Amino acid sequence: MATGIKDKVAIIGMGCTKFGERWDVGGEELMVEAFEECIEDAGIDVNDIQAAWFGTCLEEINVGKSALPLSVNLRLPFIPVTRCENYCATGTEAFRGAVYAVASGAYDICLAQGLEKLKDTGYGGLPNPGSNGGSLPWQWWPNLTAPGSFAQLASAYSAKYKIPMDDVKDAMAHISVKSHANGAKNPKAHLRKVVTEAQVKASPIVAYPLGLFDCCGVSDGSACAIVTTPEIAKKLGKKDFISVKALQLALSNGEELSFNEWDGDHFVTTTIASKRAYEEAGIKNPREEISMMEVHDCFSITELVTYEDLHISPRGGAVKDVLDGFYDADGGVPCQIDGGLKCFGHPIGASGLRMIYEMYLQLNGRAGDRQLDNPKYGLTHNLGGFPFQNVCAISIVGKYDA
Amino acid sequence: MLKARFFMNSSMEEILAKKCCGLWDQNLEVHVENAGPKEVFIHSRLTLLGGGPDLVIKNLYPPGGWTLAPGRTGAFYCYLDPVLWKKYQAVVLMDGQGKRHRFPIRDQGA
Repeated sequence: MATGIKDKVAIIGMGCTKFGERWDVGGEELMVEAFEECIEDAGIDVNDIQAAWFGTCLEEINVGKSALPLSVNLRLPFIPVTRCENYCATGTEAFRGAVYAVASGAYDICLAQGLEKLKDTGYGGLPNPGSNGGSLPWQWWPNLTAPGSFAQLASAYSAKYKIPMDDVKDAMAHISVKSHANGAKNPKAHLRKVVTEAQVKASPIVAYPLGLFDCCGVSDGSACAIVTTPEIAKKLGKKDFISVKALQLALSNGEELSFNEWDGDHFVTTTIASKRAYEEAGIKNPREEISMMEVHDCFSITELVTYEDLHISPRGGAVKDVLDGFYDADGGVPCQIDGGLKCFGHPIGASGLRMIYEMYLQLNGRAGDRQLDNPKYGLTHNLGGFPFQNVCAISIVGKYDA
Repeated sequence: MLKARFFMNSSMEEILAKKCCGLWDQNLEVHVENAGPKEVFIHSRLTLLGGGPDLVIKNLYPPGGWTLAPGRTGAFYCYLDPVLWKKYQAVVLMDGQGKRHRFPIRDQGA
């Protein structure tokens, strides 16, 4: 009988680079930069690491197809290293590999690292990535763009719940203003300017109703984690360490795309994965028990509907919660306290681990100016793909004895 | 009827440069509100008056212009030397009917 992952794995070290336009370095240096912080934090030697998982999504434009770049750049001691990719959920997928390897008893100490070096291509997320994208995307998804497909969420959401689009836009603007305010306090964030709702709402439309400020940044960056068993963490002298409470993954199976039951207004995968995660963590009432979260705010509307898919806002109730400030830094469940994808940035393969990094800092009381009061459980939600077909990864972390 | 607000050295400068297609040095942000009862089109250009020779800026971003429904606000962005900006007294925008709309700069403390 499966018993889940709760408290079977401890996170003993994490690292994260500054995200942004890192013209100053290559992908290799970014890996080292994050890893140096991580291994110093863990207080172990590189030779103690027994296996590693390396997440990078668009390998064609940065470090290539194998896991060799991680092994070579970190001088890992000839250990198993696996490269993984699962769209924008790649970072959490790498974390999942390392966590399950430790939980299985196959290894004592593992590394998960995510990396993406996107800005060298000039790619901004809009159509036609150029020759770097290859020829197949035009056959798979002709004329499909990320902003275009996610914009349809907003129209469907507005229609389903009969909420005027102006109100949805007000909530989306509040989400972006909140993330910029949080990102301004984060020295590692890509975008660190405070903006007003007037600026957000006046900015050019990218794909109606999504404007410029409804879209996240595209960044370079790397993040990583070292995990082990709670027993080894204790032997290493770690006190009040962080453990994994839940780790869930749900992938579309074609139902959203192929049948009529889905209204296009939410993420089926997130709804399912979050329910499983709460059960795994023993959480009965997420609105009351989750202290903080990082969700996959590739677009502001994604964040809005995700509040409901995570069973924190009631269906059709996220707009009110947002406008009431429930997800602000001083609200009931602070969200994107590090700035989120919107302002910390979105180097695809690193994003999932970056989210866990913020939860780790907050739980350890090391988040500086953006530190929250006594958080207990942190949730991360990492989504890859499109509303109609996607990969959803959710983790819940907290103090081992919580 | 249109209303306009001007923001020199706007926080948009960094955001546009790093995120939106490498649009560097967009330090002047102009908000135009359609306060009238009908839809109006505003061209992506402005003219500065009252500081010497008229200065026409034809390459505001976004290109083309804004079609604004009643009550809507659209933003334009461009680069302008802040020293030069201080010399001028008014901005003229043009709508889709060719009508010129003049807005004083200094009244806003901009």
